[in-house]
Amino acid sequence: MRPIILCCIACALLFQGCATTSLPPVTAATPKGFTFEDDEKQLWKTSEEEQKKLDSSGLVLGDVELESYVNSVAARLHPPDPSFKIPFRIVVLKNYYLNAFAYPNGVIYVHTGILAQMENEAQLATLLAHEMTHCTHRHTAQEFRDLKNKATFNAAFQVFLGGFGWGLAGLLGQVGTIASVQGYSRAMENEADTEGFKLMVKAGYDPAEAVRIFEILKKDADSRKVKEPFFFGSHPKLQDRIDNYTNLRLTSGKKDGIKNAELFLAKTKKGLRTDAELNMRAGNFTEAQKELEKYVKVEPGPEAYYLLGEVSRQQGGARAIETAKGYYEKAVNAGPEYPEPYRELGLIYYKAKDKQAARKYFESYLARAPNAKDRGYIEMYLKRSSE
Amino acid sequence: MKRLLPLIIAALLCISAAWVPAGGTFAAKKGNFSVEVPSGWMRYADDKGDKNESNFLMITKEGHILQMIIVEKLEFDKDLKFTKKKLRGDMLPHEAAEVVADNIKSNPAITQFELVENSPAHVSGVEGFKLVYTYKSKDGLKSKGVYYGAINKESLAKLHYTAAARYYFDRDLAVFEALVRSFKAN
Repeated sequence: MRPIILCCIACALLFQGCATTSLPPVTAATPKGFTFEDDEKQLWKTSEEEQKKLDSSGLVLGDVELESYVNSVAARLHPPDPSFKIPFRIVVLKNYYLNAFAYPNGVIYVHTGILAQMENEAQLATLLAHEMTHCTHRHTAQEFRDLKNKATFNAAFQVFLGGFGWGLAGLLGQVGTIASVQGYSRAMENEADTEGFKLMVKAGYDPAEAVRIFEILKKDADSRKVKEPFFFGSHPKLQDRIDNYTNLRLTSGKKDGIKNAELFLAKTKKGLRTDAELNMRAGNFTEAQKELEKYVKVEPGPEAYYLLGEVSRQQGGARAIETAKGYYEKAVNAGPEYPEPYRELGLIYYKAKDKQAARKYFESYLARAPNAKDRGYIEMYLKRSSE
Repeated sequence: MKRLLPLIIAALLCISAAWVPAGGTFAAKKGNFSVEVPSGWMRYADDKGDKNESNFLMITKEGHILQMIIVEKLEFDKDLKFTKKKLRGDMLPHEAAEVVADNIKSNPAITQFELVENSPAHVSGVEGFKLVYTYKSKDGLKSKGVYYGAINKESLAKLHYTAAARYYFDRDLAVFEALVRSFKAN
């Protein structure tokens, strides 16, 4: 074979291996006949497979009211258009880490942990607009091409997984892990900030809240004193967002706008409570307490007071038990038919060797929860209180 | 081929230096307990030997994905793997059960945790608890677990069995229960 032909083949192979990373954004104004490129179609296919695993994992919160609300905020940012190529869908995941991530096909996962930190709808809109820009500006495809060109793809993926441990990573696969853990290049993240900011401002939201949400997240990430595995739990990445959004706000000149704080809290309360329970289970009592104090304002019922009592009790110590007792009594007053606070009051008196009071509360608990899973323990303590 | 799979796994376990054939009485080196180990199972030997002496017992028949028994003593106030909550000596049995269940639930490698049973139990005459639960493992396998815990002076005796929910759990449950009955705290 002639050297010139060999040279052409080598160049063709090199060109194929180093596909251009630059792609124009997908917008509603895209000319008719627009199609995604072959590698993007493959990424969408992979994304759908990863989403199937994630959606059936039991990690999806599945609160219809909350999901309908977050999707309505997304629709406000990007009104549905039949000619638009990316159908957005927002899903809430039960996970106390601070994170949200987007798949290239428009499916965006938001953790309860990040929702629980937000104060209003404008802050949620900021986050969603940022993630939606990753989709419209085809960042995943560009990131994958870049990694492929550098021939470091597999090594890079292993590095992400190594820092991540198992868990969610096993479900996410390559596309989700890169979107949720690593994030994108600095240029792409900056673009997501800029274009996302334009979307939230155009939708009428208060631009000041775009800065505020990242300040809240940074403060929270710092106070946790643990290295979070996800993009939005990373201190330097959050500082980048704060710097960018501060500049964007200053240059936009727009002041005020929609916040919808009350509506946001009312619609996201189930996510808030779930996150508090996850934090309590993991022993993150400070975070759980903060979330429950927020929750009790929007849903001041027996369940909220009981959970506040639980946070105190589980921290241990005489003072915490006294605080817990106060919350359990509040719970009994707020909902006399709600069983759990009776059990906890019974146990406090049982430990204090006040057999009569313990008996009274244990009997009240079993009368209200005859099929309780822990009935065996309570019957045992009740018997001992009667001896 | 499916029938041969457990044998192949067992053979692979045999050639692994850390796994040795199990059987007889296992006496923990520092854990102050002993237990009768079923024969035909493989024991993880952190001492790289076959002396039946380690601080904990970890055995499996066909590989830890299919079934696993772990027996050890957990010291109070020490960090648990997945929760910041700690076990304390002044805990009532159900309180210790709550911490153990929360530690399992907080394991990011498992999903769809469901508590089937949480009841008082005795291990070697010591008061404790029994948890039965189901979950999906990181490999996507529906699995089931039983956890016996008994509170001693300075530690919690842990006897933990997990197995694939289909076929394996029921098949080996009797072996685990016999092992629990043989447990002696020294």
